[in-house]
Amino acid sequence: MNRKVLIVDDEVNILILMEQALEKLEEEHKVTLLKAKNGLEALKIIKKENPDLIFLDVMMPEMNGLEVCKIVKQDLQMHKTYIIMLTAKGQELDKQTGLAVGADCYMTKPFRPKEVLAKSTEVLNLI
Amino acid sequence: MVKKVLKKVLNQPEVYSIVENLSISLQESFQIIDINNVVVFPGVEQEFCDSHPIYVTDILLGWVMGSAKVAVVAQIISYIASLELQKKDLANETLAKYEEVNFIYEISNQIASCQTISEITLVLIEQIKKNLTVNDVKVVLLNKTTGKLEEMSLDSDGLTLISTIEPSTEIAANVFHSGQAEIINNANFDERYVSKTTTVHSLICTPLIIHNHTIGVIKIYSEENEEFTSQHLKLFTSLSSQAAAAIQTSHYYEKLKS
Repeated sequence: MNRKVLIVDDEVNILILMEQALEKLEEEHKVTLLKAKNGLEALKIIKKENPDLIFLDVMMPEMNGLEVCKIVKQDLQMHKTYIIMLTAKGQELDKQTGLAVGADCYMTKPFRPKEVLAKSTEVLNLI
Repeated sequence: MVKKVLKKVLNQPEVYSIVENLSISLQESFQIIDINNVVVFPGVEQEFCDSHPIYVTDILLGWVMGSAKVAVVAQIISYIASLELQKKDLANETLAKYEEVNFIYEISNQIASCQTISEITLVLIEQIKKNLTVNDVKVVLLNKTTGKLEEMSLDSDGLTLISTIEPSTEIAANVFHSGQAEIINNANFDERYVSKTTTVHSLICTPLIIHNHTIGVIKIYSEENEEFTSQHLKLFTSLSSQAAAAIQTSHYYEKLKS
């Protein structure tokens, strides 16, 4: 079965960089990469595509990452979907709140491409 | 990577829709197949008389199968695929720059909080090894008392002095005296390379310069068949400048303390 990874960030640059960092998964493991520019768009894709892994930025317009995470984990009860919160350096409070609303892990931005790829490979069990 | 571009382009809903609309506008049925003869745009199954190649630069990606009228479809897809490849190249380049900036940012932060030369050397070696695909990093510093160059490395016991380098017999000594960074790919063919191990393939030596005065050298080794490039040289030269400034500050700090 094809695995799906959703990247959610309002910064287009980050979306492109994350997609590039995860290119190997797409090419070697046929993982489908999905992208969303805000929380609302992300929720639509999550309901339709049921991704295995979500990289979720915290600070976004319309609906922030924490709200999306809460809806996915608590309202939609999608416990199998692994959520990695992306927080800017220094947002310690966000990390705690993110974990409290059900996020599985967090990563700080600027992110390390190798770390992102390694974590995704591990979560998707592609080792 | 290039050969998968056709599938990726047609996987985009907007492009797929354009191709469907072209079929309607031209009132022509066609099929698009990739280089492995896999159908990526089905159209209507029938026998097609012509095949129109889809190229990006000189690389064949697939064909549009249909009458002479659908040659324009192959042209359009070739163009979209070339844009997709350009975007990919740009993204790759940006990602490499992003990694580089992050690396320098991280190492600068850590070096700024170091007070001794040992701490700076330790951070340099650890960070370079952690972030880049290199096998070994050594820092060579001038011992002002003995006038000799001392080579330090990181092992299980921490930072240790490996050896002293005789002036003018080694690449590091040459770089120290010339103040010019050097890339040596295929190190074993360089007569200045004093082989302590036979596995080193390439190395970069960058001088630690402060106020036009060289105080040491950073040596970075690769055992793989990978060659260092001018990009590596730029990165390590910038890193060496920061490290040299930090080492100088720690000298001042030591002086103040005593």
